[in-house]
Amino acid sequence: MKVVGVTACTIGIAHTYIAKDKLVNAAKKLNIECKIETQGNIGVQNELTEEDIKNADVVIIASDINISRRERFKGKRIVQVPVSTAIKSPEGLLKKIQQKINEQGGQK
Amino acid sequence: MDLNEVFRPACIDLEMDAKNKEEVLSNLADLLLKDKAITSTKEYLKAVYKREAEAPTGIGNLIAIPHGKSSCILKTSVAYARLKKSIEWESCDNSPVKYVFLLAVPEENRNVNQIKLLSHIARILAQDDILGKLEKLNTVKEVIELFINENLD
Repeated sequence: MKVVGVTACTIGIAHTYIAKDKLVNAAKKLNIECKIETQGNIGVQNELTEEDIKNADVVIIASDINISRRERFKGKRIVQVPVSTAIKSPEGLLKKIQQKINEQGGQK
Repeated sequence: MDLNEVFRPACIDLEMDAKNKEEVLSNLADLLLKDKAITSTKEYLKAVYKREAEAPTGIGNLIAIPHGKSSCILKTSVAYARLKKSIEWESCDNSPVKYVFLLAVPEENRNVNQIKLLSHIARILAQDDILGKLEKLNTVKEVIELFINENLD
């Protein structure tokens, strides 16, 4: 499974980056390919490319605010959660997504 | 990286005696005011409570990172309290809180590098093995060094 995602929070200073770290570390543990873009106070970092998005099985949006450029993900399978979910149980979140994808089978 | 710019000894209290969240936040805001990092504790705390109302700032491991963005903030800062007794706090793992890092983010004229330092501190505090490290620190110098020495990608 390939995962891309965006994290963002209201102040854009703490939870945005913590959520990214938690998701990336959990993905590593589960052997899942994962790239996360942060939309924080200082702007966009680790920006997802068209290629990243095209190749992803799922887009995770862990955010408490409306993220910018959401239209990039049109047609993709999107999982939207509050930032706190990504911080609290990143492994559980990824496992659940993985299970759903396996049940549905194949690409979106 | 000059962490001392945002994490200053004057804003660290390793022996805070506080009964609840309100008291901790108020004490930390006083430290920021004395250090001329903010112009008004009332204005600043208003911003902090606004953020508190949105989502939990307890990030687990007995750590909380409340924060506020306001035009009354003159210097990007972190104020830190180690509490003598843990207190109740809304947190991700439903645990109480003993280590409180209050972040102050200026509304205007922000310095990107300093903002990055705040994020750096928050990310370190969210690492799984942080609690064991924090518990061992007994001086202000050691606390600051922990964050300087920790390397994230």
